Amino acid sequence: MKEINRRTFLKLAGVSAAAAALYQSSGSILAALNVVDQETPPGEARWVSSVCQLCPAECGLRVRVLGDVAVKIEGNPQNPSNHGRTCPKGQVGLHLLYNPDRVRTPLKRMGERGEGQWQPISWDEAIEAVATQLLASRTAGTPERMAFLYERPVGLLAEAITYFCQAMGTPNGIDMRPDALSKAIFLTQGWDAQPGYDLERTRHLLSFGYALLESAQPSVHLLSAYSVMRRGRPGDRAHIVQIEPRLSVTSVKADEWVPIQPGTEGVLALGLAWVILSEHLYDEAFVTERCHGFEAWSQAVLEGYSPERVASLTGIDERTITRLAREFADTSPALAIGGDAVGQQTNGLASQLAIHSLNALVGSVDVPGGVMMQRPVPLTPWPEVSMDDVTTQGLAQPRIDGPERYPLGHSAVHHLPEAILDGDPYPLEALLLYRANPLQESPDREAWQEALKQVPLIVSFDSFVEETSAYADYILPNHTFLERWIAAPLLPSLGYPVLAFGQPVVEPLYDTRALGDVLIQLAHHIGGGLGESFPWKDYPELLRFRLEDLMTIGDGTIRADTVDAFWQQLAERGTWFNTPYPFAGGDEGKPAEWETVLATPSGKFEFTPQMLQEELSLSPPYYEPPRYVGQEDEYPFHLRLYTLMTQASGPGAANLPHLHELYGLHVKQMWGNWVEINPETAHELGIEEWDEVWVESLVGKIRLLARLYEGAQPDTVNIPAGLGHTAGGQWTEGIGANPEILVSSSYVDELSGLVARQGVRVKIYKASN
Amino acid sequence: MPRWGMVIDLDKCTGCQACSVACRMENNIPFAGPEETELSRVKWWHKVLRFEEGEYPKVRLTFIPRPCQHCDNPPCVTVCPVGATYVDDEGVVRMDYNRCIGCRFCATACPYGVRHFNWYDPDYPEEVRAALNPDVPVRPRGVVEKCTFCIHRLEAAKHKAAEEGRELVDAELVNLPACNEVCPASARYFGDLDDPESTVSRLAHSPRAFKLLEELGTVPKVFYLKETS
Amino acid sequence: MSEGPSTQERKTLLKPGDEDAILFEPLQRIGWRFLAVAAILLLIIIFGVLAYSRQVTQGLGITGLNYPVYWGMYIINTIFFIAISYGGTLTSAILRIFGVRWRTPITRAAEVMTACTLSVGAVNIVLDMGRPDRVLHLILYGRYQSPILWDFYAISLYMVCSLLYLYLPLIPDMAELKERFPRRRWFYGPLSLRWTGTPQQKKRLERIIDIMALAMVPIAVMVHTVLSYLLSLTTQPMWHSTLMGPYFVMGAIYSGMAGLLIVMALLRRFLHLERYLKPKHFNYMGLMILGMTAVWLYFTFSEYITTYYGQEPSHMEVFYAKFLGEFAPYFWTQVGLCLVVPVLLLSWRRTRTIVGTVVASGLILVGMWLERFLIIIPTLTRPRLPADLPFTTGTYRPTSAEWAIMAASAAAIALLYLIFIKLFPIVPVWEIRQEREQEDARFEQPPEPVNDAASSSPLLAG
Repeated sequence: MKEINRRTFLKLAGVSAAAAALYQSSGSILAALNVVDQETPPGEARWVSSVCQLCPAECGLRVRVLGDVAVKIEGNPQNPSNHGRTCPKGQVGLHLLYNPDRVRTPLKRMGERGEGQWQPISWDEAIEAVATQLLASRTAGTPERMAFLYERPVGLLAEAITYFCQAMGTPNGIDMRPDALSKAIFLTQGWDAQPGYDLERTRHLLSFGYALLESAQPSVHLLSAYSVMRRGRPGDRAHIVQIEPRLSVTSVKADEWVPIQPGTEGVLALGLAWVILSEHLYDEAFVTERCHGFEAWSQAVLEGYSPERVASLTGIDERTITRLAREFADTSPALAIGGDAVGQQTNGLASQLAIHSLNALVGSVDVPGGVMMQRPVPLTPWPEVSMDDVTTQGLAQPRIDGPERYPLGHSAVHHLPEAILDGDPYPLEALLLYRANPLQESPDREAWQEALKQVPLIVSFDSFVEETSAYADYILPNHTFLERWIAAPLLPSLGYPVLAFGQPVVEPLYDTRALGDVLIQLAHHIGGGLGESFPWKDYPELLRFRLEDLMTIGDGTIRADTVDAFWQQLAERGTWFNTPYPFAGGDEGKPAEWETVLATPSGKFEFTPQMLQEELSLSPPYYEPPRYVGQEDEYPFHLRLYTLMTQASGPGAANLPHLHELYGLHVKQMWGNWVEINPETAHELGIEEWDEVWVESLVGKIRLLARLYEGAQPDTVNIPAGLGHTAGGQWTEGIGANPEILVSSSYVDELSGLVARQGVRVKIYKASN
Repeated sequence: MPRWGMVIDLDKCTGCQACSVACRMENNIPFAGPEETELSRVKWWHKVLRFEEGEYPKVRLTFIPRPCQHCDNPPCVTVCPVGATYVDDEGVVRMDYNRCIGCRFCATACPYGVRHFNWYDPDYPEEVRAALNPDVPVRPRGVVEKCTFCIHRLEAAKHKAAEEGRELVDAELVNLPACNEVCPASARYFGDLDDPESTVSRLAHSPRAFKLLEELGTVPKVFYLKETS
Repeated sequence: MSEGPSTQERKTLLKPGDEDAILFEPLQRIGWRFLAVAAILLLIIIFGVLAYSRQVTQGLGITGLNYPVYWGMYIINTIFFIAISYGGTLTSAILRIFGVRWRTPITRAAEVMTACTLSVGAVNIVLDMGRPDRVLHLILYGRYQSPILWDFYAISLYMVCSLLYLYLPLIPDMAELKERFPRRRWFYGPLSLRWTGTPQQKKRLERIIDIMALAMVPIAVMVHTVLSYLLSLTTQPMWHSTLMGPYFVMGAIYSGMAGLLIVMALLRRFLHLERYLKPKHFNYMGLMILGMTAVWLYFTFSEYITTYYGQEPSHMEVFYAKFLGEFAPYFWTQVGLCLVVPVLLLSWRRTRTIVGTVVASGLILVGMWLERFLIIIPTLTRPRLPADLPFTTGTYRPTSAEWAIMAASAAAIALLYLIFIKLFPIVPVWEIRQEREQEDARFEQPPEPVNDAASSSPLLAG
């Protein structure tokens, strides 16, 4: 063979290797030598007030702004609900604003519904198109054929939406998240809202699954209240008992976790009442002076709910029941709270009634450390809508979801698909959506999909295209909360009125528009009575109108002579509130307040609510075992759904990567959800940690990661809800599975109309790859 | 000279993890994403640890928020070959990103696992990149990073105090780092351990106080107050 | 079966130097087989270079490293390759110090092995750096307290001394090469330092080499001890061990000898050095390796029994990870390859053949690579605060980039070695001759018939 010159060969080889390396790395080598550049936004730093919308708590925020860029979110120190702090969700609000997957212009659907083909259009076009169709309904004399789905509460915007619906002439302003507790309060105390709790002064919290440290709101206030309960009163540390089917974060931090069979919380409360009654530990003064029906009630309890019976129904030891009751009644003040999950069973309302009755039993109603009534912010009331014939006629129509079929029904959204499909009581012509995503959050997804196809006009006001807004004809994107004016009365919590106020922190990034403004513009465009009902030119002017009374009353933390001056102070401070809470009872109570907080027909706390007796011949206490979805032999496990602290709500909430990367601390799981299974149970099923499993109920199945968790009862599995989106952004699609698929709308509480979301039974088996 | 330290009251802490996120937002720490998370490359300068013991139904979980411990005898500083990490004269263990050669010796030496390495250049979404916190440098690939006790905030506070012709006061120090400022339960305190009247100093002497891995002799300056009934 | 020629015959038949002509054959031409092998090695190296350039431009994220396994293949391979270098210079020096007679054919092959593996090993550490552009920081800002800096200087010193120790005995051969290959005078000439072979020169050279040999021992011991300090001077469970230094040194000698033996076998086969590298060399080396197996067992047993009796929780996490956990297959394979196989193959003369010792050595090398893996990775996967991990324990899965770079490192060692073979005789010719003269002088009578069949040379065939 011919000899190759050795040197030449080596030279060639060496050069080609070096060349290849250089080719790969050209350019970046130099870049590697520098610290990565970052642009510094120009301008001075200033702090601007805003209001977080990543969960219903609506905490006050202060945002650090440089030039026209928001660089950090902190809590507003002046807001008494969150006093300068935020929860993990609030911290990533900037990523909602600066999110790549936001809708940037109004969109019009091209192609079939759900195909995802959109054409950007101008706002004029968008408003024109929607207004025209809504006007057509009014012209045809059928304004009730428009429904507006929204999530309660979203501050004054929710009221604006309801007002818009009224002015339009439709009764169908539908709140997607009713609850049972407010019904229990209505029955016993006469006002229809969730109560506040004076946690910071209570000395014993008997919590029936109240997610104090997870998903109850307002989050930051509750986290802080926990801190005060533990360390805020030196020498007087509160005692917390958490009674719930799973070891939640609240259970972890409580002094005692009592595992319980789901749906039996109410009967446990009655068992505790039995002990309190039979050992005469109740507040005699209160039950004598301020209560109605106590004798009948207590007699029924003593007859039917002995610890022995209750032990067999709940799985909790008799001695535990006795001890819990004594601890509760011996400590004063004490609070009994039923979490949202309690109401989401077929016997939910009865359970909430029983639990709340415990508060009356120990005299914890409207006293320091007890239950309070959240006082409203004294804003200017909405004006009467301009009632023309069309509007009057429309408002006289029944609600399309038919909540009146339930004696205490507030909304019955789960009936909406069938109402739409059957055209009963009337066909739906327009569906407007704001922060409402039934295709993701409601059961009967297929029925919803069919129903949505039937509605001629669907409009979404969300800033992200999620599952339901993907079916819209028009998307009129709202600003994110950092780009708009917000006024938000505080959720029931502190008792005294608090208004959080936020202004646009930066100029809107894209061609979006505040929903408040859009409603006004739509009203003006549609004209007639609707237009007249909105005499304001934009949402800030509307807010000014509503603040007039607040200014005039001259009470609380802001005093001013003109609305402008009031507005300025309010915008700067980000909050108005008025302390103290006027307790009716207790040492410094104001007896006049009893009239307000006990607004029942009898003027007293009704152990046996008259309304139930008269209209339904129902007399508490009564216990119906929960009807579970699925039979035990085929579906051996209870399903517990819960929401993590790191789970935000609203459009785009699942598209926040930092939250995904925190997700579930108690099982150390990120980027996706899972099903928690008791390790022994898992062992029996042949399931190991990290296995993929199917969780199947009567109506659906999902595939999930199995996590073995000692905090799961042997016959209960727990799944965090809120993930499993199929739309909404690059960090949300395909992350986790949606457990709402497992819920059936056929099982409801017949009194409240609430779907028994927590009453599902499932079976679990390993998924074969 | 002050000696900066931190106290975290575990009896108040609710494990909400706001501290971890606040740190991320303050310090321009990029998220890892699902794939990199799977590879265990998530960067949490501050992390809430979860300890579990027992079996159903007698289970105990403990949440312990863990920033860099800013040890007085830091194993990471000893082993750094180029002095890219060092203890400053106020006890803060600092990072010099421009000096770091990325050998990760400090990261393997730290018994608390507080140090993180930049496996790639940070990948912020474009929209986010324009809104980074300008007070904190963005770190390139190849260097180690960790909690700095929000040294940039400390410098700003000192600057402000100097301008106003006064000393720093305890009240402005307690909630100085981003993690402390956000804590809904007000469970965290920062301040001068050598000032006997400061909050941290008094709490550090509480009978409830303990430190993590104290037996290793690292002399951490983060104190924990244990849960108690 | 051939009989060796008589001394007389030897002296009359051949010109001085001609008997060793085979030692100069590789320098004379480049065959197609050499080129083919070199080309393949170069290709492998190129793959490695490409992988590394990807790493430089994108970041260390392309490896399998993560939190908390911050160190992996690169550190393992650094230790592995530098360890093999012990089979070279250190062995050569020790054999020289103890005046071991049969060492002569081996010494240069060993020293070259050191030069090649050491340089590639040192490069591997640089590959691990997150900011290789800042390597000068080690000099500009080096902190004397840091074990990495000790590594830097120790390895540099070792490298310089090893190269010197390789070069010194090469001088006389360079002088001869200068004569044999006149066209290459420009290369060999200056390197031969005007060596003429005078007794004074010889004496001086021997003296210097003796000193170097003595110096090499502490230097070499220091290098691997200092490498071990990367691990043992931290507080991490099962790293923080006083035994780590000696363990590393012992392990290095062990794997070094195994490496040397393989190199010897390859040289013997491909350069036809049967006359120089005889079965007895393999036999003796095999025995030495067997001795090291015993030492390995002693150290390993000490390490684990100490841990086990201590029962310290964080240490036991690592312990069980290796004995019963996900690292168990690797751990027990390592025990098999480092203990069982060598004992079985090397304890009996019958199996202590060239083939037998080569097989044992190869398997020992694999086992020792596993040992370095098992020293580094399990500890990193079990940090003291396990609550910090997103999963139950850390994991490490090297990526193709890391394997490519490892392959490229091995190929680079081989290629460097091959280049050396083409430039210099792999057996120290002058020393061989010197020894032969001394032997001939000692024995006037014909030499004993040589028994090993493998030592027949075409030149000597009766």
